[in-house]
Formats: sequence, structure tokens, C-alpha cells
Amino acid sequence: MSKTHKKWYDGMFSTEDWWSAWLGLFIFSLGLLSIFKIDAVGWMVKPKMWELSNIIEHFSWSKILKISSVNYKNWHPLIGLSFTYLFFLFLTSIGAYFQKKNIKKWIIGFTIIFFLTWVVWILGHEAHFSAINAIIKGKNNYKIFDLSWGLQLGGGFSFMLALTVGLIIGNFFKSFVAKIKEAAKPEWFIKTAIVLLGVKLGMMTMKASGFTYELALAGAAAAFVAYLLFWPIIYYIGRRFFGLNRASAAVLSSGISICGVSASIATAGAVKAKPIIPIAISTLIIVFAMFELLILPPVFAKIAPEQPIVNGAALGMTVKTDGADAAAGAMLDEIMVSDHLKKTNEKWEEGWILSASILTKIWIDIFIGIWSFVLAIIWIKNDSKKNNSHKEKIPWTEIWFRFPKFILAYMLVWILYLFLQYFFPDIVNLAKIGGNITQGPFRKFLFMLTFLSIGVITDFSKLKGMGKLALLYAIALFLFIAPVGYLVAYIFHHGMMPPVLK
Amino acid sequence: MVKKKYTLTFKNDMWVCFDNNIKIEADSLDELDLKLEIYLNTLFKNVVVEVFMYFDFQSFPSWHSQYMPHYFNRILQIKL
Repeated sequence: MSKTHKKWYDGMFSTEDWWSAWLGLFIFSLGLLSIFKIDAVGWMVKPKMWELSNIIEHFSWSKILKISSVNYKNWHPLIGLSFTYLFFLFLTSIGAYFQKKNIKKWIIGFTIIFFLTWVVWILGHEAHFSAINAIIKGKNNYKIFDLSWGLQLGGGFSFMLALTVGLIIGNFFKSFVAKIKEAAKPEWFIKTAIVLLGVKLGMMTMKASGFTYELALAGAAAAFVAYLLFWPIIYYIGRRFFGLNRASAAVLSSGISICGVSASIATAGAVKAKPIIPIAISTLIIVFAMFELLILPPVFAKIAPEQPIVNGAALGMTVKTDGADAAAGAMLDEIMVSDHLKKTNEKWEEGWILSASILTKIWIDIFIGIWSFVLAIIWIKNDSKKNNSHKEKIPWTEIWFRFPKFILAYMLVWILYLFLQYFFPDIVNLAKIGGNITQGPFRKFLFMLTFLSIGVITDFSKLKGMGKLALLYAIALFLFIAPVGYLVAYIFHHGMMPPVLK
Repeated sequence: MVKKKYTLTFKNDMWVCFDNNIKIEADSLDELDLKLEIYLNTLFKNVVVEVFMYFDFQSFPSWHSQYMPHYFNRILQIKL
């Protein structure tokens, strides 16, 4: 039986996008139970900083893993880790079942990715790599562990390690990738993490509401400029200098200048390109997103160490795909906060640089549906000149089907926190108890899953045979999008600084 | 106005429009629309037929759905 219609609620239980919203909202709700003094999330484990010789001398699981809440202080860390595994496996398997994924492959793949992620996350907390020689929350781990040397990379080292391990697997162990790729879903993991980041944004709004609104508005303005500036210029270059046909130029322009794979598919649909075009361009975008993720955070941090929010917003405008952008934002956040701490002994609050990159990207995501709708109208008007007996209309529902639904959950979480702040200020502190765990260890673990998975699915050998498109992409990205995106981010965000922790 | 609904997909480098009764294939959407018009002419005369085409996303590799799970739907009005 063929399916001939699509209702507005189709996909609510069958797409990763919707499942990011459901998982994020479910975890958020569990955290919110702290309002009723129920700790439903405190069992989540998190890695502790450790030092190699100390561990060799006397190993104990409690030296490398910690339960998040004192309410579960009697739990052995391994029980916490097992519970964390079962919790995430159960929730994601439900989602995988409704998305009609192969459940057996999902369970095997997720289990391997889960434990690999934890091994990497724990290794990333070894003091010689991550301890910073400065006082953080009243203690100096560099001195506590009595280190004679240290790279002082902060939490960013775990992200870099996860990405490196993922890339090694993705490019050198391809038969192993086949076993785990069913569960390597960076977009699902990162979108769920972004929903939880709504908690962080809510808390940030409580602390500095004016700055948060300003950040959101600046992100919207910058995103708007990006659409009107980047897209037409890349389209022109593609047509004029690379001889691309209209459809390919449009799809590539959206992929490079707007929001990667999602924009290229949406645009290809709008201009009714053969699916082979967005499929090929998507592969290109994913590989280039990896270069962006690897290169841009350290470069921005080096070039403009005193412009953290500008740097974050510039990433949002430059790095394609939500997963790579959020991952790059998280890496930049860690690098810049650590570097600033080392140089000045002053600690910027974490999360603001990441939020700048995500808020800009979210505005770009929001407009994909509208932009594609406009392109579809332009394309139809052009085509209708050829055929008078046919009249094509575009269903308004196209905007909705292309709208990223996880953003609704992100906004809902943010608004709920604002609602609590304004109408129930007495219970906000209780809400923060659970919120700190969901936006802390839960969100960071989902980021770690993203870093590893994004590496696993990136196969650099796929660039072979994409000569002309790859060249256009590289030129457009590094000679146009990155510098102009930075300039636009600077215009709208300069002068903004993250709050300093006392 | 008569309303018809079909599923649209892309297989072996061809656009395919089908329902439980017919299957039309063409190299381009323009050609597909013309073939559909010819078919509809065998069913109806002197009316406007509004065709809703639902694109089946299954023709994309499954890993694409995490980025964008929708391609396009289209409404085509054909004067017969």
C-alpha cells in the first residue's frame, strides 16, 4: 500500500529530530523533579580528575568516577556507571525501535560506543593532560596532584581525544565501523544535548537576563545576514566560475553557507533536484565539517583570545551541521576558558561561548524551512514559464516539515526556566539542583558521544572523485565564509564577554 | 476539481510516481508530469485534477534522516 499523504504530526515517533526532543524533555523532566525534593538524576556518574602514578600505586574506581549527587553517595561508582548505561541504552533503544532501526545492531553498536566513550572520557581526565595550574572552585588540582609537568588542556582534552579515537576508527577500522554505525548518530546525540543546554540557557538568563537576550538577538541578526550575504555569492561563484547547473549550485550554496546537510537536503527538495545531488554534497559537507571542527576552535582562540563570544558566534556561522558546530563550540569553550584562566587566574563561566555558537546556529536552522519555501517559489515561477497546462503549488506544510523540532524542546526548556524564575522564584533553587546535573554530566556525556560518533562516521576517503565540488567548497569556506562570517559575528557580538566566576 | 494522491520516489536514476493502480517512471519531473497528464486523460475529461505527490524519503540513505527527514511534497494542478 503506498503512502500518499503526510500529516503535521508524522515523524513524531519515527525521526531522530523528534526523538531528540522527547529524550531531552524526558531527562529535563527527571531533573525538574528536584522541585519536589525527588532526586531522579543524581545517580549519573561523572569522571574525576586522576593522576597515573597515584592510580598505579593504589587503584580504586572512586578515584576516577564519581556519582553526581550526595543522595546516591552510597552507590559504588560502577553501579552508577551500570545504571547510566542501562538508562541510556533503554531510552535510546525505545527511540531506535520506533525509528525502525535494527535493534540488535543498535544494542551492540550503542554498547560499544558507550563504553569506548567512557574509556576516552576517563583517560581525558588524567591530570597531566587536563589539570590547570590555577585555583578553580577553591582548589588547584595541578598542585594537589603535585605535577612536575602538564599540558593544561582542561576539559577540552577529552573532546579532542574522543574525536581522534572516532576518526581513527572511522578511517582505519572500517569493518568495525560496520558493526557500530547503526548507533553512531551524532545529530541525535547532539540535538538531545542541545535540548538540555536549554537548562543552562535558563540558568544563564536568571543570572544575566539582559546579556542572554542580547546574545539571542545578535545571533538572529547575524544569521539573517548570513542568509542574504553568503548564499547569493556562493551561488554566483558556483554558476559563473565552476559551471554548476542551477540545482547543484543552489544545493551547494545552502550546504556551504547555511547549515550543512539539513540545508542542502531542504534546498534540494525545494528546487526538486534529483536526490543524488544532496546525497553527494552531504558527504562533502560532513568531511569538511570535520576540518572546520579540527581547525577553527584553536585558530579562533589563538587569533582573538579576548573575543570569546565573537569567536563562538563565528563558529555558529562557519561550522556546518549542528553536531560539528556544537562540538566545535564546546571545544572552543573549554580551550578559551582554560587559556584565560592560565593567563589571568580569572575564570570565565563555562557555557557562554558554547551558547553563542549554538544560538547563532539555531537561528540559522529556524529559517531553513522559510528559505527553502522562498527558493521553491522562485524555482516554480521559473519553471512555469515552460509549461502552461500545469500549475504547481507548494504546500505551506513544507515549512513545518523542514523545521527542526528539537529547537521547540530547547525553547520550551528555556521558557519553563524563565516561567519558574518569574512566577515561582521560591522554587528556582530547588529546580537548579536537578538542572545542574542534567545540563552538567548528562549533557557533557551526550557531547562526548557526539565527538566519538562524528569521528566514526567521517570517512576522508569519500572526498575522492569530488574534485570540482571539493575545490569550490574549500575556496568558499576558507576564503569567504570563515573570514566574512567572523566579520559579521564581530559586528553583532563585539564587546560581549562571559561573566567571571568569583 | 478532482483530487488524486500519489507517492513519488527516485529509483535507478528515475522519478517514479505510483499508487496502488499505476506506476509512471520518467527521467525528469517535467516528463513525469506529462506522462501523468496522459494517464489522467484516460480517466477524466474537461476537469482540473489536483495531484498531491508525497515524496517517500526511503529513497535516501538511512543516515540522512538524522539531518533532515523530509524532502518535498508537491501539489500539481493539471487542466485536462
